[in-house]
Amino acid sequence: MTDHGVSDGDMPTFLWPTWPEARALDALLSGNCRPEEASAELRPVAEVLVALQAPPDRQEVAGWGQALTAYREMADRPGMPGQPSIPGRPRSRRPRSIARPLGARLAAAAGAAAIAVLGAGAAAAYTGSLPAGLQKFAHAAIAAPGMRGSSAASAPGGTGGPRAPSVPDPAAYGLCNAEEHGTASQRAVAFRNLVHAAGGADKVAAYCALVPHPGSTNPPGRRVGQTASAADTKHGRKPTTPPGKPTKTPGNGNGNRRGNGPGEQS
Amino acid sequence: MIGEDFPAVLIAAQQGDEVAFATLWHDGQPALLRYLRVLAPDMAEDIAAETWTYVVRGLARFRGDEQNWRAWLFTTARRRVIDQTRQLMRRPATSLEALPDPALADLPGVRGPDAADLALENLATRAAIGAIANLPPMQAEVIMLRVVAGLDTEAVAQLLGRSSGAIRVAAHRGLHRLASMLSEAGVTR
Repeated sequence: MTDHGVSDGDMPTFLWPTWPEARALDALLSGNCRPEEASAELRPVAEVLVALQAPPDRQEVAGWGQALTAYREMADRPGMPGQPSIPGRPRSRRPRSIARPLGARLAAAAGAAAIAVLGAGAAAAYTGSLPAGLQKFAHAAIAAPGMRGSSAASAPGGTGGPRAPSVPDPAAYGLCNAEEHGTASQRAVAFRNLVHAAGGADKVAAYCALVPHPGSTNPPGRRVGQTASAADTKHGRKPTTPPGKPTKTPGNGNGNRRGNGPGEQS
Repeated sequence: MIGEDFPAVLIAAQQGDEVAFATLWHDGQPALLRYLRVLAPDMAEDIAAETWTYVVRGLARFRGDEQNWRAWLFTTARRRVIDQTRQLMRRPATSLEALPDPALADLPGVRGPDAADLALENLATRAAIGAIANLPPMQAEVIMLRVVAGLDTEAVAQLLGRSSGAIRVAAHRGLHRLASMLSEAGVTR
């Protein structure tokens, strides 16, 4: 990896850029220079660097189910070397109970996390990578709770296409919530995704006004566990069954349906 | 970057909070994948998944700030790339096209049934990664670590085992070369 680049040995032969230029390059590297501020020669470079930092696309968040499975396996392992300091602590996978000390700010982070947690279709809607027609469909599904019921009913086993329409409204709500109440970094992430979802920075407010409140039975923290169990199924993993988590229908994501079933919108 | 919430998010993730882990993953994974697409384009997804498996294993013992966290994440990924490359070298007469790695083949979800749903991608980002990947390897890696991983020159120097002077030179050279590549390609507007 390092064998074909610049070796320390050939540094003396390298002509240092002039001082202002070196500063411009450092500014680009540190992200302190937007393309429109760059010199004409460096603008294409600046644009490439901006593209390198663009919000994630669908493929880039597709590995979440697998990562969560690895995380759960580790958290469930008794005598895990990394957790000796809290021996009596139940390794609950219910984020709510553990997240409580962090309060509302972390709950707002669920909005950003939801992008990763949701099915592929929903994630795509937030990253703006859907074709216009599909995008409209996704927005209609978000605004229309009825879509969720019919989708849940028509996707037994949860192994087929994206389960997006059954879950997006709490996620959209989470994003809007994070955008409104989160920290600077959460707001930035949420806003970026909301701009894509809403179709423009100026439409975010109107978009969020249309997103229904998910209701008290669907707190964002809890949804992660539920949706993620569907993600397990998606990747063909047998969901592990922790104590205290009812999983009567293995791999069916039934927890999701129970909490979010047709006609149960509060 | 997660920013001021990072310490709280890290502690929660270390204690089993999936929301917190989702935050860490969502923040790190896109950058990690882009870095790996430059280093090992054929194995990027697999190595990213493997990296998180390692990171999850060591997560509870990790101590440090967000820069340390990022450095650890990318160091882990880099080690996995080196390991994989060594394994491939040891296996004779394997064409680079036929890369599915036996060690990774049984990981679920690598080529999940819904891969078709995930085909849409950010083309500008892919093109940018492709442009960087055309640079000499060290220049490309330094630029990815500086810009995408968000590490400063010192952290990159430590990660690559080079002097910070060499890192700065490699980065500047890489950007220069990128500028001429882009202007040759007529990308300049």
